[in-house]
Amino acid sequence: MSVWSDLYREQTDFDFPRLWPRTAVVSVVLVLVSLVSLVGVPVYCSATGNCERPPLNLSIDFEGGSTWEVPSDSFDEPAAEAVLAPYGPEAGEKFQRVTTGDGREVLRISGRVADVEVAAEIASKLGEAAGVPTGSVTVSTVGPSWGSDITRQARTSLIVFLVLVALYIAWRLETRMAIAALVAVVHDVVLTAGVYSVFQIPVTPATVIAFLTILGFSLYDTIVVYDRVQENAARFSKSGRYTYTAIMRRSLNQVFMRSLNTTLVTVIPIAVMYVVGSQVFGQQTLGDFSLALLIGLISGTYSSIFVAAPLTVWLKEREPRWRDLRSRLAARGDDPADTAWHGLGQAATAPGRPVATAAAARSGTASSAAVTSVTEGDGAAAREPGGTSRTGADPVIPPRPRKRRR
Amino acid sequence: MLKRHPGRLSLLTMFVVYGALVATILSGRTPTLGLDLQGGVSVNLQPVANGEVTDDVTPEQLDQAIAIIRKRVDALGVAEPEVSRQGNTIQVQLPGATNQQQVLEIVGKTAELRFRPVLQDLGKAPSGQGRVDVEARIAELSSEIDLPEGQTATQVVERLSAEAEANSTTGQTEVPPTAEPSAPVTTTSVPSAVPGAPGTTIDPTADVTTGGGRSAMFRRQVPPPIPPTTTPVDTRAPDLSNPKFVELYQLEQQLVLAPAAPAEDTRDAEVELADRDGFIYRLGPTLLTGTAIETATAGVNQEGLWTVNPVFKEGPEGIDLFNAAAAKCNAGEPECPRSGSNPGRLAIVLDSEVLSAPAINEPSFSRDQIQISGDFTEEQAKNLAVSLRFGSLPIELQAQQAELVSATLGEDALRAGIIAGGIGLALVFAYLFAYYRLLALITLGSMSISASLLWIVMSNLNATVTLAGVVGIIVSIGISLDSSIVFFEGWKEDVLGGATVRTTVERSFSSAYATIVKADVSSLIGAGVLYWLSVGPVRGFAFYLGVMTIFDLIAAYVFLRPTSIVLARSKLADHPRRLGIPVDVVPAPSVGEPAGGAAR
Repeated sequence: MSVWSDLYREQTDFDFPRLWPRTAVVSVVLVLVSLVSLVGVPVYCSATGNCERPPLNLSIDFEGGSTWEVPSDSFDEPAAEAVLAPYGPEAGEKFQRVTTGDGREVLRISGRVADVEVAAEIASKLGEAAGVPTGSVTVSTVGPSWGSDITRQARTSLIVFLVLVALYIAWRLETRMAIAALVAVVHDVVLTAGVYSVFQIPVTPATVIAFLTILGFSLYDTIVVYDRVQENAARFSKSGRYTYTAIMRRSLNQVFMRSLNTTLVTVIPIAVMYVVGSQVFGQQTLGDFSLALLIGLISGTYSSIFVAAPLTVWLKEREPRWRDLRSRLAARGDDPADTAWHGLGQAATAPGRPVATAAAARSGTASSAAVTSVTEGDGAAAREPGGTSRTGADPVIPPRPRKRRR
Repeated sequence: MLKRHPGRLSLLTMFVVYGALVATILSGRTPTLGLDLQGGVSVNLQPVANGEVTDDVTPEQLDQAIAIIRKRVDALGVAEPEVSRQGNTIQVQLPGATNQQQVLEIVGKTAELRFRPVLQDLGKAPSGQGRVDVEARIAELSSEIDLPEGQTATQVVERLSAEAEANSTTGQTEVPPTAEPSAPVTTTSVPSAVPGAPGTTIDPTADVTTGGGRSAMFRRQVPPPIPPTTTPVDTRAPDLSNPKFVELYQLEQQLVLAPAAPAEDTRDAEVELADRDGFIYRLGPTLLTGTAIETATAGVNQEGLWTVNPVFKEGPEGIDLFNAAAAKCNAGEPECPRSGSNPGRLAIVLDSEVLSAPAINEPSFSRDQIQISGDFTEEQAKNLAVSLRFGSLPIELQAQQAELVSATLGEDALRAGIIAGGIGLALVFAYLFAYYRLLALITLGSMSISASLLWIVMSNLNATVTLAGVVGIIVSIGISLDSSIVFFEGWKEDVLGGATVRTTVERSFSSAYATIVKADVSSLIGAGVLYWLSVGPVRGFAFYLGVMTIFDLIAAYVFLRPTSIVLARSKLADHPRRLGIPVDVVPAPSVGEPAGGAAR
């Protein structure tokens, strides 16, 4: 059966834990690159003073400035420069010709005019020069403090959001999960900012908004995984057969198709928005939004599987309960490193895996009870006497429990 | 009943939601398009002090500033102006406006509370439709009354007044053209105020044209009822007693007074300004400004009347300025003339609007023993106190962000958003149909339910849809579909685990729903935080993201669940493949040892 067919039938058992060390390296490298670009290079620059690369290519909105859009086929850059000349060399910094969806041409000019009244005056002069009526020249002006306001609001929102969500996860799920989820979110934030920094993609207020939304997405995925892990842990831990790692692997596989589908149905509209909105219709804001969303969405899906999950496992395996389970498994001769799914049934299809019969399971934990174990391997039959020897699960798979909503 | 008959719940949901949708559409209500989608001017103002943005303002000050801006903006005649406050930012949205320079000029002015002496009370002037009505009525009355050839009622009165003045040694030397034809001889009939509470220091004006609570008056005891039919003392003009003549005269006066445009409120010049009811005053140059005030409160005095108690600051910048003005008005100096036998009046003007024009009954006051009384309602008194407090600490507002979007570009943006959303949605559903087959139909239904809810709410709240809002809605498509996907995948898993499509549907849903609620709450926290902590487009985005998340939770419960149960119980579910569940291939995954297991 192909992978796709397995996926469709939810028969996959990808060995995510085996990938984790490698993805951890990838994540660490990417985060480091991001940090170097965001912090390292600027520090180096200010120390040596011989480069001008900013950590983020902030749009004019953050420093104060104006953008004008003149709808005219004939009005060109030199003509615009002539209008802007009296307002200083920085009044017209960037010129861009945009074709809108219905084929009209728009000249987009941006420059450092932070005074709204001056900008309005320039707009009307541009309109006169281009021969278009007043009010058809679009102008957007941002004062110098507005950008820092947006940044401040974004920072406040980010912190408040992280705190609230951490509390929420700790309450509904687990504290350890909350920690791991937070790390995953921070990972996404750093990575997305890193992409913008490394490639010097212009950051606009729309980008910041989208960026904040990503956090929601990232957590959404993570919570769906966690919910399943918690359910599975409650259901399978009694069998004593699976480590937390194995349960996480099982859970990830179970929700993998859902993650894939959800990511796909979320990415499709956003990708279309990017292509149609910004490329075809020349709507810059739509482009800014969708690009940041796309980057964050991909990072969020990745981090819920490859950051939040391993971190949770790492934290949980240190809990006495799961550590004991591991040592019991090892003592029993099982390989605790085996995270594959073997089902819960009694059929002994796994080579070397002891499967207790139903009778043994019913016989309880009495150490004297003869444990009838069926083994196909060699030394695995050697058992420690005592209560820990009970490896048999119920002969039938317990149904997924109905969840109780708190 | 609905629990046991999921089909009925589905139908009821569709009936209610689609019914409400049709009703909304038929009612003609639609959401308002934001400026960035329909064109217009938007300005974000923030309080500044010494050129720097400051947070040192109270909500009351901001609300007062908003009220002032709203008034100014209303005068622009824009269709649906919107002035709102978000944190310390005042957002002015003027859809359809094209002259950004004019807007900036109008909203950016700092409002100052000024005390100006009343030179003359000019009465009420109608404007707009009121003026047209008045003119019509004048024409009607003129034809009914037998006036001297070619003369208006005003001319008749003036002639008679002049004669009366010439004949009478006790007559007034000045004839204020109040709206009362008999005014020259009856102004003294108004009872003067009885000194009230110890703090009472300012007495009512005798202005008979001020009715009700239109203008706050100091210590007004009883509004003197002056019927318009008061018989003039001058019996040589019997036609003056005709009520129609009186009315005609008043109407003519109103028209004469009506200024064409709101007067320019120059601080140090004579101006004509109106109060909120349209009564016009001729006012002298500003004598002092609101910065002389320390605070002001509204309260009830011993007589049980609502009064306002301003407290002035100490020293030359405070009470001394007020006392200097009070002395002039009380004495009736030319700068602040008496009206009739009453002392001069000092108008309180905020942003070109006369809030109150009380007469000054004492030559001097102590700074915290001042009481403005009149027939205030509680609301009027409190509003005046708020205005006085605002005047004491006027906030300077500066445009920090401004935008002019042309109508065509706005349309482009909207169209781009709609087309992008449409294509995205179509692709997504194509994928879902390929994957989930019949179940995708249920998803489509569920989406249409939540989309309808969104439209109903948006239309009836008259919410504003901005470009950021459109993006928020497009982004929420993914989140909305996720609830279906989590449920379908869970269902599929349970069926593959050995359960039947029919028996497990409800349990699968409950399990999936619990997951969705958990995950959605994190989305809602995010949207909520963004909504409360940010300004402008971010809010629009967060709002629609949050609202769609909630609607999705609702739609999942009242539509997705019951409809899935109905489908599961129907014959269609005999072949789970139709639901995208490939049961026929695998016996039971629990036994199987799929790929990875043997690899160790």
